[in-house]
Amino acid sequence: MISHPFQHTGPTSNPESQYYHWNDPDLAPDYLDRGEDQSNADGPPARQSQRFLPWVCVALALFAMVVFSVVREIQHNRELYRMSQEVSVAETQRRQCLEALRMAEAREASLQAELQGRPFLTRNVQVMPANALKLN
Amino acid sequence: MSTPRPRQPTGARCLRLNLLLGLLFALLTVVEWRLVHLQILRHAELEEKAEDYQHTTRTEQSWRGQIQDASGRRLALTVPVKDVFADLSVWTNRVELLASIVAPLLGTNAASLAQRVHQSLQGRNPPTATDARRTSAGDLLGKLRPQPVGSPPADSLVSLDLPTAEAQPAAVLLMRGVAPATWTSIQEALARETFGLHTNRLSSRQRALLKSLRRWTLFALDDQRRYYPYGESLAQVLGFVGTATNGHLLQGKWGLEASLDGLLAGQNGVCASSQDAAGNELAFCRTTELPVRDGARVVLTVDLTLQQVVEQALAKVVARYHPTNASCVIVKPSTGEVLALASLPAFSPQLPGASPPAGWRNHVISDRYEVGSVFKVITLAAALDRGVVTLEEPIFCEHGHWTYLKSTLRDDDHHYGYLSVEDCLAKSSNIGFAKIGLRVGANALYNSILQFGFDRPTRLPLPYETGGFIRRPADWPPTSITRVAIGHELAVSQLQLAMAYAAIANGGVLMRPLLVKQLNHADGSLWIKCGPQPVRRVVTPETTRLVREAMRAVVEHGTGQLAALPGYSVAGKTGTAQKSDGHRIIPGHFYCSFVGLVPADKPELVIAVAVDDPGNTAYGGTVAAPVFREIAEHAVVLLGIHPDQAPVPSRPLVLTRDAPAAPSLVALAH
Repeated sequence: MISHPFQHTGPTSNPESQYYHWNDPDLAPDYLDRGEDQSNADGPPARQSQRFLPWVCVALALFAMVVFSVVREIQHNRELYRMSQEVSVAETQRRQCLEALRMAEAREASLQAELQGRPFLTRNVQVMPANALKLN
Repeated sequence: MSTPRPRQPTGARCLRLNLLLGLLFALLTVVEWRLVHLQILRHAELEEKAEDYQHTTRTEQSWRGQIQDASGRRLALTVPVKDVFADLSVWTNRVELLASIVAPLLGTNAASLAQRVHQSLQGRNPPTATDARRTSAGDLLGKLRPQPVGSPPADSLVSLDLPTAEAQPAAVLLMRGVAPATWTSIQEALARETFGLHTNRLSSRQRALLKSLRRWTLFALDDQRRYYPYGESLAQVLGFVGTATNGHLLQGKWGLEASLDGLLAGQNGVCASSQDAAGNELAFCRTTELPVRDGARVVLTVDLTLQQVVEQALAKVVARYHPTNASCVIVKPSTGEVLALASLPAFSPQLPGASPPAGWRNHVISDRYEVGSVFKVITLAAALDRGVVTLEEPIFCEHGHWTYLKSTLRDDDHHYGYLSVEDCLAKSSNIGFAKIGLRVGANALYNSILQFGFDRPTRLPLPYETGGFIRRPADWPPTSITRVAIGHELAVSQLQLAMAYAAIANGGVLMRPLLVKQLNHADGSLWIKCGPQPVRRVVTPETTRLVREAMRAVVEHGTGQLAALPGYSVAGKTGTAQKSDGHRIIPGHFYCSFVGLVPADKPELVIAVAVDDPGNTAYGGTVAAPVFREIAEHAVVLLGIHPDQAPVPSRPLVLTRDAPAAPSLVALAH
């Protein structure tokens, strides 16, 4: 059982009496007035530390979770940023490939037009053998 | 043994603690107030600023589609180019230095380049850092890139109106239409440039400056340029592109480029995203994305080889007779496909501004004429369809001089007595057809003219098509019936006439002309296939057979003998119409035409040739008919149309290397 550090663990179990116990200045421990070390007044120091230890652990765990989340978020963002860069590079490459393809198409069309524009060839089809029509 | 600490009085400790608490409270209050100020009071303003910084909307320009001929040859295509800009924030205070470095790379003069940048800097308010880099391509191009009709050569320094001072230009356009490979070499040269700095001992600030100079002295934006590899071929049909006002980089202004602009342009992509401090897009932040859709590929029914044959034939007649214009259209009657459509003078779609706008005009569809005798075929079809004449029936042609209702009609230099209806067509007797028109009657003739579609555009997907002109019979003077019957007092376009002849060739069914064969997606897959579209039946098949028979007589022993094609039966009709200025005839000016069908019995081609104002000694039979023959003798070979008559003595045929009809030549040779 974990006891609350600020909860009185004396013989009185009545909550009402506990309330008055803590709020009645007459019932306050004497060492507060005397300015004495409280560890000497309320049990041994090791026991006091043990009372706070679970809470310290909880706080540390929470802190670790926060740090872990932040680090993970940073790492995640870095990963996303890296992937963004990859996407950008891939898109740039795709664009360049398309540009090259379109330039190649234009060159091909230009060559085809040049061929098409060459002077006509005069032939006499009636004296031309059939196999001569296979144009290379 | 430790010495006990001196204990302080309790009151002092409490005071110190209270002070500390008070300080902390004050600090927290300040922080809280600042948070409230930022998060609540200035929330809207700061949110807007943050969005401005982070969010970016990128427009990806669609790629304008190609236009291809029926064989897939690219008639118009888009080429990627770069527009090169100078970032003024980098050029400030070092214009001469940068101009001397950049000018050789761009192949321009350093002084003029520096002057241009100076002018831009003078018109610019305090430099706005690197706004140009952040400005989207579309915005920047919209501000800086007026593209006049007729793009200047790629290697010239672009002359453009400088932006006004209010525009605060962050960059100035130095050169337009740079090839991507050239731009890459420019980038590489700039990456090696030291800009007068000693690179072996640079401070960090100088290194940053050098990096900035190398990166931003010049930068380029993607642009597109339309390329027409076949030059003036099919220019009036293809049209041209010009300054875009629709969000695209190119916009059609004439011809198919204009009428099919929506299909060719495609749809721009939109990508909303975020960017980092350097302006790089963060792809994972893309929120809304509209994918880019490239423009469709338009496949025409036109056969480029045939088109070039037509253009060469027209060029010859233009060189010989120097007419105002010459035009020709070839239609496949069974489907209405337009296989060639040419008009001279032409222009270069690449540089339309270099030619006078008169050359842009597509005379086949945009001009309407009193076509004269070629219209007699329509009158004959109406008469035969209504049974008011037969081909053999004799008509008295008044020996070439006939006065009807005090109006005299003449047959030029001919004094025919009785002619059969067939001969009236073969000899092109005006008097004979005026009498046939009277037999048909005004209302019936008018209805036939409407049935053949002369009163409305044919709905070819080209801009500025004329719809013809024909008055209602109620508005006709008493003599009009004799004039309309011979192709006067009405005006039709050459395409309307060709489609009417195509109806006669097609057994009486009028087809809608088909110029676009199919639409393909940008990847080449089929999107829409355009099939033949019958409009209506205008005459019976028997009537068309009789009309074709009479038209055949025109070529065999009539006015169109120069159109005769060895090995093939040809049916046709000549036309020589005196031109008028709208009120009276202009002496010595004629519109000569010939429309023919080949082969005559089962026509596979309708070829309409028109030569406008070839001189005062020219006739349709002497000017246009030979052009028809020249075109037809190539067309039958190219399209693989078999001869339907006895073999004729060999004569040389002219072929192009890529004639698609080579197999049929084998049959022809045998």
